[in-house]
Amino acid sequence: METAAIAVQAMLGMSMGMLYWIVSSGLTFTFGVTRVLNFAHGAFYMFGAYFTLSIFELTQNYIVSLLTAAAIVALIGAVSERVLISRIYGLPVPFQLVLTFGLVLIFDDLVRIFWGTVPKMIPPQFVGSFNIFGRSLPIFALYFIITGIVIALVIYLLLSKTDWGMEIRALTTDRETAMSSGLNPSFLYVTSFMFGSFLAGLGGGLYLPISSASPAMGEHIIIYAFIVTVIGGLGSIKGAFISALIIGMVESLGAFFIPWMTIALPYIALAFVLILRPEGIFGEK
Amino acid sequence: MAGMARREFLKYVAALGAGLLIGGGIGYALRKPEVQIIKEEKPTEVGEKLKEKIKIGHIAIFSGPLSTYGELQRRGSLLAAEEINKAGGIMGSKVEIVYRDSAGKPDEAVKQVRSLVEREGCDFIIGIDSSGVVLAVAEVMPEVNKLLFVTHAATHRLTEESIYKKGIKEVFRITVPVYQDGTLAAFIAAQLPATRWACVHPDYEYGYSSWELFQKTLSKLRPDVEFVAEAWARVGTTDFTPLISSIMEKKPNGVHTVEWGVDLFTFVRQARESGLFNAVKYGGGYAWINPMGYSIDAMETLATEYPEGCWVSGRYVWMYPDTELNRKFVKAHIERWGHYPAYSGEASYTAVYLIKKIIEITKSLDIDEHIKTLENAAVYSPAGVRFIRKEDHQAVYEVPYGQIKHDPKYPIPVLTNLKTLPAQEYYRHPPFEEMPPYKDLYEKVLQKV
Repeated sequence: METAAIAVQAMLGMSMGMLYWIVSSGLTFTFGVTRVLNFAHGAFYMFGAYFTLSIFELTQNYIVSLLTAAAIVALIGAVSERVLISRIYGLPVPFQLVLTFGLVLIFDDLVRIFWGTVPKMIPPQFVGSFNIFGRSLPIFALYFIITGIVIALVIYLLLSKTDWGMEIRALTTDRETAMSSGLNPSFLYVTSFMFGSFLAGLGGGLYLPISSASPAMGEHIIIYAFIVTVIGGLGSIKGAFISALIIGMVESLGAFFIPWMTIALPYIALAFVLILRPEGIFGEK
Repeated sequence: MAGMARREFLKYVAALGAGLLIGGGIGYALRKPEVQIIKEEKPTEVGEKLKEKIKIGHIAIFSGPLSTYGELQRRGSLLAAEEINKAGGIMGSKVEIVYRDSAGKPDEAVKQVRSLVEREGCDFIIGIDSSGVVLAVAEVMPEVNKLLFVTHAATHRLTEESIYKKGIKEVFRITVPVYQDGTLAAFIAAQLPATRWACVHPDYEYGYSSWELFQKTLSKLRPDVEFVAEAWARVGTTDFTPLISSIMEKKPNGVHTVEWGVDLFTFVRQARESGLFNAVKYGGGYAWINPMGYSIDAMETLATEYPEGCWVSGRYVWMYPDTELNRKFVKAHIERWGHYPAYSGEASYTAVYLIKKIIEITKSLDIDEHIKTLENAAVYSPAGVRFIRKEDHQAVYEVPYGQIKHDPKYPIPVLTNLKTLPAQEYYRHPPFEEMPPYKDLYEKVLQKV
């Protein structure tokens, strides 16, 4: 009885962790390459949800809307990088904070102007649930787990099997040698920013059918993305994957065993990691 | 009998026509209500203007994930100001409303209060969305020496502690407190067959106080019920399913949830997929009590996705009471904004008219005069007659619960099977030591519901 319940909680925790993973993968990826901690990542996630919503209203096709929206967000990411963020590479961290936080405010207000303040929904896309150990597991939980794993595989293949991935790895491993051997960092910066924004947009679009699109929705997820990124080690993709799963599981099992403490658990996990291993699980010293 | 006197009083007030009326010395609480003086509304002579402009500072959440709530309030206060200015203003002075964003943060709201009073020269402050913010703002009102009319925040600690115990006289709450969400919810729950209740609440003051009032009241009304599981969700929860599955593990057949805003949308959608509604189904609907479910943003967004037969309320629902003033307000609101009025919109609308009325009655901007006039007054408003209790400055009036019904004649779901109690039977009373139901009312209350 108890074991089955715990197994179901763990599966739900995995599914919850996968959303954190999808959003934080983009954040940590961009950071690894550009060394800019992008606060506006949450705003890209919000754009992903809103574009998916609007395109869905036109096309009534969820998958098409999801991918088109993420592509549009990638373009917004590219423009932001070229026009604004590229100007602050190498400058002290406060510049990054002020600039990317400024973007958050602008993007949030754009959403309010174009879509209004009342949250919006599309019809649920993954209706129903499985019966597993006598308990119901919503289909959307499974869809998150599968999508999360697919995204992890795609990132792995891109980084290990393509020239672009090799250059990215070279740049993140030894910046100076890589640049002196003729890599074009601008191209890598803009493309990695696009890719990171694409993942944020995808996260927002994936999240839309299980909830809604609302102004500043990125504020909630970005805190978790930061926790995940810091626990995993800033810039570490593998770390983000593992720590997103840990956070999802901790929250889900916490809700089962110690419900009154649920919201404190991710922060407790973060504190533990910072005390024992300040650079994060897979971080570099 | 108290009920009779009150009904007669209501008729009397209603007969006086539209607009806000203030009467002094209305009995309240468990005492027999005694109507003493009702001032008939007379056209105010326009003498010397008190000020070129009467300025009202309106503080609400206008940014971040909860910015809808600022917008819903703004619709109410702006509509009132436009109506008043069109009709000649307040004793000839125009009303101007200055909107400020609290961002839902106590220190930010306090800063805005000072700036509105000191720099903008505002004569009154209205608004304030959340419990934590209102407790902080109440503390500075004596210092800035202006009146605050709270139009949203619901914590009972404001009226019971800050106003009643600490004696802050500059604050009035004209909207419904958590007694609606906790206590009246328990009276509704007591009528349902469910015996195993669970909760899913937002993890902050409002969630905790609602659940506490709910449990205490319901266990008195129905000693046979058990409270089997609790889930506490952070504001901005993206995935409620682990919370839902952990409460379902305890096999509840009733759910009390004070989730609201975006979190409510996420929760309802995910509860459908997780089978939580099926678990609480009974012959007459769902043993699902969601005090804020009839908030206009929820009804517009969730619409038919919110299952028919769930028990929901708001701090005002547009179809109650069925009075001329309320119908007129709803119509004006829809014409002006294209939306049904939200509870905080109705409260903001009433706050502005109330300010107009107290200035006209006292013919001054002296806040001691205003406080004297407001204490123990009865205010005729779209939401019904609000009795402003002297001890805690709480407007006492009842709001019903009802079951969601999807009626194609309306753009949003409507409520059927409306149920409520006279407000004095479910509001806590000074000195706030006992919980409802009050012993002497116990029998009567159960017969009435």
